[in-house]
Amino acid sequence: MRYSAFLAFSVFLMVTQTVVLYEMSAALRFYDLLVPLVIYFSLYRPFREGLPIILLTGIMMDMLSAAPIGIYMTVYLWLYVAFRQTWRVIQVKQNLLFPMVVTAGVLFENIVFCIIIILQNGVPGLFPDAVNMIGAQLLWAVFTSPFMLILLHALFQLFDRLGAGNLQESEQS
Amino acid sequence: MFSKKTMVVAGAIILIVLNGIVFSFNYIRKSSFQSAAVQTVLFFVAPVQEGVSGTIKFTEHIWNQYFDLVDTTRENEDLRRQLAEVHQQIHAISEMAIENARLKRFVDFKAASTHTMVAAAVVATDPSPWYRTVIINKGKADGIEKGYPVMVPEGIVGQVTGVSSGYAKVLLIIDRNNAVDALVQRTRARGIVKGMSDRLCRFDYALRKIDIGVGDTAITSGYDGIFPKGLRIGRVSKILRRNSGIFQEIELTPFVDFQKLEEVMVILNPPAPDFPEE
Repeated sequence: MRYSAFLAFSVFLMVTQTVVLYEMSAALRFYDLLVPLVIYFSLYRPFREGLPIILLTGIMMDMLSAAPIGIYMTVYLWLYVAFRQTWRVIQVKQNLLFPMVVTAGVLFENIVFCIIIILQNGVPGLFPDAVNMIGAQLLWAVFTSPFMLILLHALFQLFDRLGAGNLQESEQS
Repeated sequence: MFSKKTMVVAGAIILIVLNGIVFSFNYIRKSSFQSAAVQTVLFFVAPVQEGVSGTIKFTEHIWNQYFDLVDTTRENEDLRRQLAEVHQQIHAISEMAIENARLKRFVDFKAASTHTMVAAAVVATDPSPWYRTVIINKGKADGIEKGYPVMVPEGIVGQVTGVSSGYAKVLLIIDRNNAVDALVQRTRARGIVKGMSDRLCRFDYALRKIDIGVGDTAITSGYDGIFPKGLRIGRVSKILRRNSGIFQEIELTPFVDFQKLEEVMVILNPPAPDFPEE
């Protein structure tokens, strides 16, 4: 039940990214909305919850995109593992740092994409306005990720309450 | 001395006589006493009458105005609502007219074309801003297969790279992973059109010695086995001839506006590759 809710929320973010934002304006150049989710799983949720959802989400994104198969899954896994290790050393779990962490995640994802594109097509393969595109995404990440954090906190609290309710019901029965 | 009855009768007679005298004043010249009496009465009563009348009128006015105001407010709200509805209707009608014109162009194009086509709506785009694909709402169930060409009346859009029963993924020609065998319509110079950015393509492998000018139209050659021959791709927007190298660098602006892609046509019977005769 809980995993279904997590997965449904991932799909909701995917649809928002590929349909809603596209309908609003194709020129928005919004960042990958799954990055904050991956980082949230990495920082705030147990390993057994995060890993399967991230793998599935990555595979789904790979299937939707024209990017080389596996790139999204790889990026999400790297982000997940990297931030999971990082918070043991640095206090990145502080809410105030979340926008910085998400921005770093978005930057990392874009760098990986750039490397792949350069490997495939050479430097001319990059968009002429690649720097603007990455810059726009980073700005969006800085300004919107605090709201994402609030949304994610609220949603996961709701999922936890629902999960606890289900557990009690099953124990009683 | 007089009985009560006599007193009543006498009083009545006196009153009648007095009344007669008073009425008789109307028939004789008006006395100064009468006018003084009228003036006195008016002096005392008329201001009160005026005051009361004014108060009543004022109250009546306020009352009517209040109700008028309430009515006007209500009427205003109704009119505003009606205006909003009319605006909504106008918006819907103009949207319908635009859609109608777009679909008419599609129908005309389909009727004029020799290819079997199926129309589809764009429902989503690529999750990554680095890649250019769209998802359309037609798939295997509608006869679409991987590799089928996709176009709009303005020109080619891309090719199907993935398909499920109800949906298909289309790789747009502006994606850097896409390549279309092309010709310059005027000079028949051959090259490969590759994606470059949000709105641009490159025309690669055109020899330096071949005359290609800004404004020339690039069309599909039909040699790639995907796109039928003669479909419009784009217009040459920039040419760079380097001193070294055997090819010229050509920038191509596609005829299709990929930012406004809403409906597309998938060609269901793409012809076999039309290779040039040796």
